[in-house]
Amino acid sequence: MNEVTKERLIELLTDQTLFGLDEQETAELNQLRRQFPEWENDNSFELAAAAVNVDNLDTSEELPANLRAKILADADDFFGVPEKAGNVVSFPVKSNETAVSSANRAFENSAEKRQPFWQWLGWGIAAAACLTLAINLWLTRSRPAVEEAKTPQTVQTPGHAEVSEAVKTPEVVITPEIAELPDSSEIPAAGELNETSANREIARKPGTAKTPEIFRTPNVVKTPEIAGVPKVTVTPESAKPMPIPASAAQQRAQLLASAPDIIQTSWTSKKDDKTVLGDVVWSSAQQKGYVRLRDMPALDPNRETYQLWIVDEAQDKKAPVSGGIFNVGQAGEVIVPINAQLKIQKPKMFVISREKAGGVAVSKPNRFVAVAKM
Amino acid sequence: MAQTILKRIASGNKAAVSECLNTYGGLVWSLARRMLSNPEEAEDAVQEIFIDIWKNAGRFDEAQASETTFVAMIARRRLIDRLRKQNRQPNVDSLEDVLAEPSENRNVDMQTNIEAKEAARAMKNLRPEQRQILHLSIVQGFSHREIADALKMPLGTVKTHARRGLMQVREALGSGNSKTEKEAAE
Repeated sequence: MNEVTKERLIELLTDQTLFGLDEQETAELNQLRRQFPEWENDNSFELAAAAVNVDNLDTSEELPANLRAKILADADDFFGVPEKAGNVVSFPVKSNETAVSSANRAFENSAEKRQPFWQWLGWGIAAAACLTLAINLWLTRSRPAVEEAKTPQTVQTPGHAEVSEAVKTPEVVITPEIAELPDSSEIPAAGELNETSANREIARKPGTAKTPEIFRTPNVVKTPEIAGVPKVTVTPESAKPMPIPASAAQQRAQLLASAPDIIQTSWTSKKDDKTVLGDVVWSSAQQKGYVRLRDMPALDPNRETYQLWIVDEAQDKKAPVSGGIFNVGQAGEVIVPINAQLKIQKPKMFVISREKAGGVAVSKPNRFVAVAKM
Repeated sequence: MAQTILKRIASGNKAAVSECLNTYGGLVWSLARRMLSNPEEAEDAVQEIFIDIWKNAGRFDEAQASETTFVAMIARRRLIDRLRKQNRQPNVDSLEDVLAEPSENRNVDMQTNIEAKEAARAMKNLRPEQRQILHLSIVQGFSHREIADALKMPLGTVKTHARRGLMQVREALGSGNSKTEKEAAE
């Protein structure tokens, strides 16, 4: 093979891997591969791309149970025999390729004709999960007023984020301080993040210069209990059996299972910051979402806080909406509910910044510690 | 020596399917969720990917790559197909420019994948524009035209950077000086 031909072959192989080929290029590649059969089955470029892809991946989330059931049903169709304990399908003695090819043919011939029991079982499991979810939601929301009065599992943070998990576990420390308005020197120059119109209006409301409404929780009585101590006073009424409020993890799972428009993306560390693990899920229809983080560095709650921002494609791109503030007390996984200050129509990006205690109305890019892009 | 999961699937051992799901379910699901924003579409894609894995299990060569990388390759093929059908547009603006630094390694469960580590090391050694283009292409699934538009770079330049970058990564993984290529170069 001469150098020119080889270079062209490699060009086509890389382009195929990275960008795909049009019909003419595909024909050219096929011709070159026929000409040089040693390259016929080369997939080293695709494997290299796959290795890059795998390296930058958070695989902590498991395959959903309903999807697993569907895939197992597909396996029944593909292999032709429903799976039993320890079942091994015996094929005639052929090469591996031939065995799978036989299964392929059987699968392709039968897939659309049959509605096997196992496939329906998959749907049955999914339906049961939905039913359980509905019952759980009904039970947990049937007496909200009573629950809030007796068990402060759901607490409004100064940033308005509900931090249910935080109260149940010591992993998240709720920041009770009322935010102070950032100094005028902190108002970003052109090119930095701007205030949203809502943030600006609230933050500069006359008489509230030191305590902008955006970080207030007017409906929350600031007692030590609500500020973070998960103390539950047992009264005769509260001693009665009550539905256990779903944890943030459960609520997140429920949202994932119930919201058709759910979006999910992983956090990406900003350069030079410690690696950030976790993801964010959001449903615009329900205006609900959860931030999941693992092993975030703890901050001194008296001095600093993390603050979530949401960039909405439907709004000013440079004016992200505050999604609440939170702190992380110790290592481990924490789940923080998102409470956007404005209606989010089409989130484009979520950003976590590191701010002074109480949060700020406007952040600066150099304070960003993680971003999750759609 | 125990047969790999894919070899057992290729030989028709259906019991290996559950093991395959346990081992690679999270990987495939994570890849799908990262590249496809619609969860329903991601679920459909994952179903198709596992069928592709079973169909191609016999092609797996452990001398060439790990199972993880092979499965990721199969997954990527299917996901790229779907992504191209979506005709997704890149989102690059000033804010994202600020945040567009290549991500750190957030690998959780793939710590043992040596190839992934080698690939990451190779990526770090690339020129910044090569690294950025490969990231947009491989991780984000952007087309060469989308990358050219987003980076305001000629199409040919994008392709050249991408080709050179990928070849370096491939060489770092030990494929660049393969017998096949040496023979081909002669």
